[in-house]
Parts: sequence; C-alpha cells; structure tokens
Amino acid sequence: MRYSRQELFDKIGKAGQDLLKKSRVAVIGLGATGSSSAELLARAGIGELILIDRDVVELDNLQRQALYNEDDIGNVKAEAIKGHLEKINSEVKIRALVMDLDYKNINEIKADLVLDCTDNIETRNLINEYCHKNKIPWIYSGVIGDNGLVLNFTGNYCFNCVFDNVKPELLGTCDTRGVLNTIVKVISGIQVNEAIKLLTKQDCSNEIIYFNISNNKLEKYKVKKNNECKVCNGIYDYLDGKKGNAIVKMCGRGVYQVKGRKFDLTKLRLKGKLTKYCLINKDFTIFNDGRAFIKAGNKEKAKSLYSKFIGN
Amino acid sequence: MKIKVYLEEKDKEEFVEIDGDKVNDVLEKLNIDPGIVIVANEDNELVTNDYILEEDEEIKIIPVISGG
Repeated sequence: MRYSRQELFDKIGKAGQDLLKKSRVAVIGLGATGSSSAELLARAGIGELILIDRDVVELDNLQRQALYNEDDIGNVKAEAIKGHLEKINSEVKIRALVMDLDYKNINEIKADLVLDCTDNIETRNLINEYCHKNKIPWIYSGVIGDNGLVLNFTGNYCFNCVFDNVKPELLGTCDTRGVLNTIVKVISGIQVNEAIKLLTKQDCSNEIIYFNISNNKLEKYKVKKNNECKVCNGIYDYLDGKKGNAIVKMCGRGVYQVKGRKFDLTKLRLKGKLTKYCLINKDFTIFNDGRAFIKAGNKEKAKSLYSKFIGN
Repeated sequence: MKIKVYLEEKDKEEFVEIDGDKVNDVLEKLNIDPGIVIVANEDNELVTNDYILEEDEEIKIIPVISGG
C-alpha cells in the first residue's frame, strides 16, 4: 500500500520495488543535497540507508536543508536526520555514521550504491577511488547559486577521468556565491531518480546533467574515459592516504576542520555545550573522534588555535 | 583564429579571437583558470585543454560545481 503509486509506474512495478527494498545505499554528506536525497530514498523504500556526515545543524542550514528544524540546531546531522526519516518510513533500516570520511574509515561504506552529496572535491576523489576499486556505482551531485549538476559513475569512466585538472581551492563555495533551495531540490531529484533507475536495472545516464534554474535550461555533456587516468590504471593516492589534507576549509562559513587524535571531551579545558558527539562553544565545535571545527581567518591560525586549546 | 564560445554559467555566447589553436588559448584569452572549468565541443563531448580547434568552431565552457 505504501508504495502503490510507485509500483503502478511501469518502469518500476512490483519487481522494481522489491529491488529497492533489497538495496543498501550510502549517502555521504547530509547538507542541502544529501538531506533532500536521503528523504527521497527513504520515501521510495530503499531497504537500508547509510547516512554519513561530519557536521552539526546550524541556523543558516534551515533555508535549504531538508527535514532539519530549529530543535535540531547544535545536534549532529546524521543522528538528527535518522530520527526524522524513521518517522517517515519505519520500514527502512537506517545507520547514522557521525564521521569525517577518510581513507581509514571509508571501508565502513558497504553499499550497493553511493550518493555523493559532499561539498568538496577531495572527498569526491576518495569516494571515486574507493568505488572504482570495489566496483561500486556512485552518483556525483553539486550545487551552487542557481546551477547544479549530476553525473553517474558506473564503470565506463571515473571522476578523475573528467576532473583531474580541477583546482579545489579556486572553486566557488556556498559561502562566496550562495545557493538557492530550489536548485537543491531539482538536483536532488535528478540524483535520486538516477539512483532508482540504477537500482531497478533501468538504463542510466552516462552524461553530465547540468541544470540552471533561473533560465530552466538543461544541458547534457558526453563523458569518456581518459586512458591515462591514474585511478583507472589502479593508482589510488587518496585511498592509500598519500593525498588528503588534515586541515580543510568548510563550505558555507569561515570555519576550518582540523583533525587530530581521539580524546575525552570531558577533559578539555574549553567550556561549552556537551553532547554525545561533540562540545560546542562560540568558536569551536570539537568532536570525540579528534576533529574540531574552528572559526579562524586562515589555515595556519586554525592549526594554531587547535594546538593551543585542544592539543597537537 | 575566431572561436564561438558559450559560457554555461552566464548563459551567454561570444566570439573570441585567439593567436593559438587550443582550448587553453581560449581560456587564457578569457582569463579563465583551467582549474575551475571543463570544456565541451559543439557536439557536447568533453574535450581536454589541449584539444585543437578549427576556425569558427564552437566550444562550451562549463563551471565545475563542488557545493552540496
């Protein structure tokens, strides 16, 4: 009964619905696109969702991030959204992972499909290498301003084939360019539609789907494999821990993430609101896995504040 | 050499006169860092920055999007 309208749709049917129920999908990043995509997947009846995010809910997230409300501010996103989704569809098994995805913990993703809803190229490179090595399909999404794109990776080419020359530090962010909540919904809808097509064995796009919501223009760009691609030739620099930064500028605010060793939050000298996962005060959010979000003018200042208040 | 350029982000077309014959020369002329865009030919196929252009060929410059 719950899925009757979806089963009536001939490209899914009861057989397709059964395939969705047997599927396990990981959503990495639970910000604008991720929260919206997770909601669509749960409503569509995916059997198991693995929800991964490193961040907490903030007031300025509510303009575009699905399901979160004012009561969630200060709570970790993965746990907050898990609670909301369980009320929408209690048949879906949901696992929330509060962590910063890196080469040491990415093996915790054991999924049939990965949805990239992150906000940075570095994590996408890591996802790409992990999925390429383990032959897991994944779907890249990105949004900024009034533009967004989606691209499937199912084995014919990889992220590095297309985006090898990208300089992440030069790309615009939500912080500098802003983002409309409407483009988020469109891109999330396209991403989840591609996911459902893939999981129900329908033909999927192998093109970049690029949409601008101000002029309602959709363009598709054909992608091909680069024979010189390092990843396609089995070189996994991110997955092997040879590439990747310990300090990362977060999208959307003047905050840096600094990684350190694990510690006991109750033993910190800093005062603030203590939750199960983190300690929050005006300038710091410190997680029990050793990460800290620090308000700082630059990378060096963030590192210095981490050393001063948290430790080396 | 004259090249027709479509700038996806601005939904705008313009003609660019370049001295060389590569995509990179167009990006340089337009003062666009190659690290923030991908480029497609008139058949909407992605091309590399050393792709050789012909007179009056059209290319499309597409910004890389990272936000989520």
